[in-house]
Amino acid sequence: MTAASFDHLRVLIVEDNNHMRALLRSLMTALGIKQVIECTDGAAAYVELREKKPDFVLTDLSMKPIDGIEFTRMVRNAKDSPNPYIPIIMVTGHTERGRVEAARDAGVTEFLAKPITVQNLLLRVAEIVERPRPFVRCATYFGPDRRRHKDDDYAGPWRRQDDITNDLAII
Amino acid sequence: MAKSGNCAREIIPTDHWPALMTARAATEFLDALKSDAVKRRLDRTLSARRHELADVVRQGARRLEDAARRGDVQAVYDEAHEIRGLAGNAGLAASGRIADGLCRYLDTVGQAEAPADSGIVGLHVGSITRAANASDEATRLGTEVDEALRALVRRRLSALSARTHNRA
Repeated sequence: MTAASFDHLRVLIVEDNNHMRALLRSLMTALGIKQVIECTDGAAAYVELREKKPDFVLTDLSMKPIDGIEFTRMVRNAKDSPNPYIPIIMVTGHTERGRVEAARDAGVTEFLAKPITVQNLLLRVAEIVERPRPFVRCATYFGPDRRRHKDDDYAGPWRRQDDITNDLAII
Repeated sequence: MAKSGNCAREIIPTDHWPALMTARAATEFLDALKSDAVKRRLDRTLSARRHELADVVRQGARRLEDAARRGDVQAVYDEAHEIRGLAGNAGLAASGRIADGLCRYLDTVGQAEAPADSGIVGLHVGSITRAANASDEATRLGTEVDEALRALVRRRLSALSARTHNRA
């Protein structure tokens, strides 16, 4: 790769396992990302987010004292958050539906499942660049729109209040 | 900023905050992501780390055995959790699946405030260690052991659930 216009791109890796962190760092370097910041938990990551202003985050789920879910909530909702819109990719081996749903509801942008594969990594990173999602703010949530796909051929039934009103607006 | 529908849900379009990178940088970056050179580099990176991660998993399996011997359930959980996170990229998929099964079992009994069955823990720990050290780890044998352990855990958890229900 020659001197690229994305040389400034900066990623924050939040992972408490040294080996997984080293693997993620190597993978980011292999992608051509030259500025890699590393942290071992959500609290340290929040400090780095303020000081180093990364462009996107790769975070683990389970960490102490502040895990990936709590870190994401802080980024999205804290009054002093330096960038509530930053893309957050959660790297997780957790297969429990409840944990993944909690992470999604905290405002995670993308999930990268362990074991990490080349194809999945490329897809997730491309997704945040190519197809950034609008954000949604409501009484209980602030984060990327959790409804990813708009199917124009979908024949209903509509389940949400704003689906109905949008539908009526088209009529 | 657009308000949607019943006004309870505010949609903030993507142009409301600074883009991740300029359009030119995004094009170059996406081109790079699609290039064979980057895919080859990523493949090489994953391959180069595989042996190192396999060693780490085997060391973890030894610590897991020690923790199980001490009856330290929290340490068992912590080691199994590390193994399930690393094993896939270490080429030790069966160890990872069995470690995942052990974590799920410990999560479930923990939530039910029931003690972990040392027999079930021991079977998982032994299987993780054997799978991590077997040359044909990812073959049928690993899968069969994983499935047998999951069936055993399901039976034990059903029994636990029935006991809890009867007490209530």
